[in-house]
Amino acid sequence: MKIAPFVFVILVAGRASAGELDMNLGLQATTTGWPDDNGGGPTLDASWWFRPWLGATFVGKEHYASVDDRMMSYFSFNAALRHPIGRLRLTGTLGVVHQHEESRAAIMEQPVQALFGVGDGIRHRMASRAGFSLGLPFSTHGHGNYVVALDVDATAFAEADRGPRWMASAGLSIGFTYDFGRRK
Amino acid sequence: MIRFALLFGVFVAGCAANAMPIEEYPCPPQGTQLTYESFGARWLETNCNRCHSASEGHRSGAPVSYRFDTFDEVRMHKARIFVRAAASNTTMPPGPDDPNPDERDQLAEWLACGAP
Repeated sequence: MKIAPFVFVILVAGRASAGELDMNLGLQATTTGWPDDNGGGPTLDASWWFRPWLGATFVGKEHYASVDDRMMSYFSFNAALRHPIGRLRLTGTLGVVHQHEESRAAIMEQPVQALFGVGDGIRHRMASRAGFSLGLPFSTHGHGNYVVALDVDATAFAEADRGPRWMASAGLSIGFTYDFGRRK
Repeated sequence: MIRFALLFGVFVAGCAANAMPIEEYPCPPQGTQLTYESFGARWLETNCNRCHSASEGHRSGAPVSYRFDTFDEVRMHKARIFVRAAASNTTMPPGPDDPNPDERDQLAEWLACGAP
């Protein structure tokens, strides 16, 4: 069931055309299902568009959360659909998540192990994710646009004994599109 | 790559995350009335052992090398227990339902006095 979004993308995409790469870096605020558990941090969004409307998206986050003074390392692979609304582009994503949760004290004790995700005290979690992004191209370059976007997503974890049952994030990002089929 | 870059940033900026070590919390001059039987075992049972004494696969991410089943195991790990859960150290147990500060201070006293 977890791989359904990817099967969908592969079946519908068929033979890839030249394709388009989108990269965005952003900052988000985050809250979770635990009381008073708030924070946020940087976010990376990298998408490959097989068709103008169909793509695959990786979302990476390194967010801080206040309860237990902890960091959350977030890795998500998603199927993505895109639709233009005037100058804006609305993107919806649906995918799976692997997240590490660890206190900053644990990171400081074992920084190298923490980098590789094997430090003591790291709680490995799995989840489903849904997200929306509203992008506004504000400038062009030879192969695409520069874009600013409003991003919102929600994550539902499969278990509740390793951390909060859900988390939600919202923020702004900035990035570019690069259409490999577009002539300069 | 992003994990490396971002965690490096956390590492550089994270000096304030240093926890208080057990050596910095003095045992009272008169010693402590708290013992493993009267205090420690119950504290650990209430706050730690749902994960740290569970069988593999049911430990909710607790490392298998940190078991608190016996008095000897607890004493062996007393410095680590202190750094995670005693006095002003509050990163364990995970989540918002934490022991109150008085309970953490009692744990600190018991551990600092050698976990008798």
